[in-house]
Amino acid sequence: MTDAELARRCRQGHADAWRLLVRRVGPLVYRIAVRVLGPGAEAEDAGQEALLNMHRGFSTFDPTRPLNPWVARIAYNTSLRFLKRRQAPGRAGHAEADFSGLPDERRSSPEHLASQRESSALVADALQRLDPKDRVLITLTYQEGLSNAEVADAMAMPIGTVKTRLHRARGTLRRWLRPRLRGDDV
Amino acid sequence: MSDDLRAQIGRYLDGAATAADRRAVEKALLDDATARIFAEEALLRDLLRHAPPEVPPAEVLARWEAAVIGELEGIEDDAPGWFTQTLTALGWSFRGAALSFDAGVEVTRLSMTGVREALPRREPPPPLWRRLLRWPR
Repeated sequence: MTDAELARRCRQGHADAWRLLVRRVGPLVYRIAVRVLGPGAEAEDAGQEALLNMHRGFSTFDPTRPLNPWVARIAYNTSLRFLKRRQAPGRAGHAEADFSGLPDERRSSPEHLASQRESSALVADALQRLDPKDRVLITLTYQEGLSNAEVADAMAMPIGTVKTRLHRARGTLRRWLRPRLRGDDV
Repeated sequence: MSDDLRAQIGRYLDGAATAADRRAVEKALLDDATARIFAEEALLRDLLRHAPPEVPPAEVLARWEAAVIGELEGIEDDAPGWFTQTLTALGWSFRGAALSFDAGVEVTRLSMTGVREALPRREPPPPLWRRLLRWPR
């Protein structure tokens, strides 16, 4: 069933269509929530909230357009709200995020990188140390295969900003992954 | 220069390069340094594309599904069309009956007490002290 057909059945209120939709877009929603908030219960709650928001606002979806960028925008905005809530004053205890967005010199040292054997683990580690927005940008671009325009739409950013941030994020990742990229012993 | 070349290679790999850019990159690939940058950029993109995706646990997906379906069914139960229309019709019929009953009660009261008694009474006379003050000297 195409996204457009699925959207039409969802609009008609078919429960089976909604089940299929959740199964179809759930992984994308989960990946974005995890990229913004880190793995754990908070990301799971944000994902659920995002899907409920999607359900409530489904009448605003244009079925002639692709579904994933629209869902990605809802998931991203919802996850950002959770992140802001976590960072709100008075909740400092919860602000101890796993990913500060700033590189940890100890973890990004060549010695540390060289100690990792699997390149997938290396990439996952590097991605986790990126700024949350850059993590989502990289995820949407390279893992979800969205175009720059779709990413810009999903993240409510000008397309120029998307390109600039992508360029910068790739530069950071390149620096962190240099031993792997140059084929050094890892 | 290296940054420019890297950006050009990046556009080439992302499919965003112009024909002239593509030719320039392909020509520059004969140089070892350029070939190394090209390999790095290609490998970086490959690693990112094939980074292990986070997969939602089955119980999380099931919980999300249940939440959405629960809300969907909740909305449907709250306001089915026939139910709302029946309630509205019942409401108006009760209001009509209540108005008729009020009118009947009023008519009965007037017929039993007489129209004169039903009319508002005259003003009561002023108190004695006020009448004394107005007494002609």
